[in-house]
Amino acid sequence: MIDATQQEDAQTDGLLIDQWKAGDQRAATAIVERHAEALARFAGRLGVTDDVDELVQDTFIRAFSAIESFRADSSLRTWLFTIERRLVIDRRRAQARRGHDIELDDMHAASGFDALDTMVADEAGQRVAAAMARLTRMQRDVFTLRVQEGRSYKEIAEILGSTEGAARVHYHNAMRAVKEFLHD
Amino acid sequence: MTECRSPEFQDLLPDYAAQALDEVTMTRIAAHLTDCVECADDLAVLHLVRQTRPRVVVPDIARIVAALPPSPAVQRTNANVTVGHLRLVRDSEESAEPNTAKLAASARATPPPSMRSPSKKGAVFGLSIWRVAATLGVIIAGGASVLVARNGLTDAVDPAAVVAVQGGDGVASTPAIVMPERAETVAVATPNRAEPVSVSYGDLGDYSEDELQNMLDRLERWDGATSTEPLPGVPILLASGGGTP
Repeated sequence: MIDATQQEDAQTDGLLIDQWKAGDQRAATAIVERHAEALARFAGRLGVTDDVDELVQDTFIRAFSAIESFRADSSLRTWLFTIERRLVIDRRRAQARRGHDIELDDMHAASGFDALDTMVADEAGQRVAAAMARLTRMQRDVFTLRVQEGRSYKEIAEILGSTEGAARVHYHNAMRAVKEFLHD
Repeated sequence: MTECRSPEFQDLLPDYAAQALDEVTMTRIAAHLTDCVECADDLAVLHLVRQTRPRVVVPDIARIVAALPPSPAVQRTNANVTVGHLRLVRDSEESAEPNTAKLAASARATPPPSMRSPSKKGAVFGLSIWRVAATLGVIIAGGASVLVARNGLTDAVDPAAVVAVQGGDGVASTPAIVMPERAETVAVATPNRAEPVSVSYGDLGDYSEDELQNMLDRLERWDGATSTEPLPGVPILLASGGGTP
């Protein structure tokens, strides 16, 4: 049902990975170019505002270090998102241990998402950002992964460590909440 | 608002908005949208949300790539280069058996230059110098002792003979001999003898075989430790020919 674009993306990523394994460093550059911006955007969706570059770099380093464990049953970008999200969680836990007031509960709205307001220029965009800021963290993560990153429910479940059914429910609840906010 | 009667299409609306579906599915959803108000409303929201993708600063690709670990092939190549270099050294000196443990043992047996003690060579060289100096000291002191034992008091010594005893190598700083300038004779005084006896050393060829052997025997029995100190009450003055080394 999904068109050939994602299949082509997966094939391209697989080919680049094989080339990099064979010693072609240009393949690594191509992989980074294909996914770095999406990772930076996803970091913003996760509420990361500081050191996004460093987070993206750490994500790639961890991914390339463990490239042998990558299985083609999920897309490379999904795998990268999974790694990045785990890094963000690790960072927040480390900050929490240092005494910072960081939200770790997925069931609460994320104040960090308000940072998106500054990145959205027009009024409609700011209303959307405000609507999404009211979502729970899990709803927002599912919604952005589904709508803005085009991930399937299966991939979302893999990234977030959840199930396809739960991802689908979170998506519909998020859609309902956003529509209600925008129509008010 | 009416409920959508085709939830499977509703699930696919994000993919429809992204135009990431095959043509058949795209057509079916398009037909569904003409009849389903809720899905049409969802689609409008989806388009709006997609348009509000936050701008992000594109990360520094070159910096990220530079920080990446080397690929498995590069790691293997680096490992082969290292092993090959070691094998080349070992093959030229030992056998062609590819045994890295043996290479490591060889490397331990021959430490790299940076690990070698720089003082070892100097210590050996220094020890040789001290051996020569000690031997000459023993010979000189022994010769003086022999003369004293044979002739008692010596009041005049040919400087040339002293040089001959010293071996002519200029070891003039031996404590038992002082070599002032303009000194013409070497006076050796011993309190055990009543009058000084002038002794000319001349050449070693002047001695008989028995005398030379006797001198050598005494040298062998000589306690070298005393040679480092001047003989008590035996001032030695050396005539011209000496000098500060």
